[in-house]
Amino acid sequence: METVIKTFGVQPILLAAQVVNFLVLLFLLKKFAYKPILKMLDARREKIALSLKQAEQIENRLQAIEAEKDQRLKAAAKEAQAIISEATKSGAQLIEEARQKASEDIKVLLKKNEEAMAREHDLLQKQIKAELSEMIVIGLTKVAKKVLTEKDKNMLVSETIRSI
Amino acid sequence: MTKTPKVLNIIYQAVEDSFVNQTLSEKKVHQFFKIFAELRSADAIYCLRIYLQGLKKYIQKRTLVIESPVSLSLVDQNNIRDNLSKSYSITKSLVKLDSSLLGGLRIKIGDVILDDSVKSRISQLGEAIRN
Repeated sequence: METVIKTFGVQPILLAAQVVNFLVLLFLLKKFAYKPILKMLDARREKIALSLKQAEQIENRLQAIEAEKDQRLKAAAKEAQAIISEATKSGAQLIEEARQKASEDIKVLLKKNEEAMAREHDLLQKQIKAELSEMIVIGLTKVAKKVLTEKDKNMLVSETIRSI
Repeated sequence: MTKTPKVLNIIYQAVEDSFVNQTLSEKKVHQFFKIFAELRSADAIYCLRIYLQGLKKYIQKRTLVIESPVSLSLVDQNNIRDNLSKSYSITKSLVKLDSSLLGGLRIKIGDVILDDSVKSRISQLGEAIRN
């Protein structure tokens, strides 16, 4: 051992001093350089981990929102379809009702028209009959005045007396 | 005096009693006039008015009115009167000339009308056509 130490020119005191120096340097580095750096690295790692976790949470939330959106869209589409269907049905029903009402209105109108025409016809018929009867009465009266002689009148009077 | 049906009946009875054998008795009329006139003025006026109306109606009911387009002989008039006397009480008869009847006769006794005139027949024909 001594041979080796002599061969390489190692001086134990210097070596000890260097060892002490090294240990002091190591201590200082550990105290003032490694610890803050490691702390910073830990903080950064934690921050990254947190960010990743948050990103994952956001991703999950986004997926949930997407799924909810799809679900709502489907529900909305279904509802819209139902509304359209209902509206179509209601529209058809309304059209049918309107058609029926129009048909009934036309029937009522036609009936009223027929009644009015019948009344008009009756009135006209009555007027014609009245005028015709008046003409006949006037005509017959004139003819009777011209045709009936005193003899005829006496004969008619005699007939009346016999019939009493 | 209240104008009750009883009062009216008394007046109508007076009207009936004013005729003797279907002929108006002047003496009875005077008597009833005198009785009614003795009432209070308003009552007397009311009773006399109803009494006179009753007399007019009574006479009218028994008056035969013959309307003819030609003049009727007395025989015809009597024939008509005799025939109708079987069904109606007739106290008076009148004959009216009405050329518008054209033929036949129209006879009235009170509210009863027997119309057998040509004018009436033409009117009936017109009515039949109208209806």
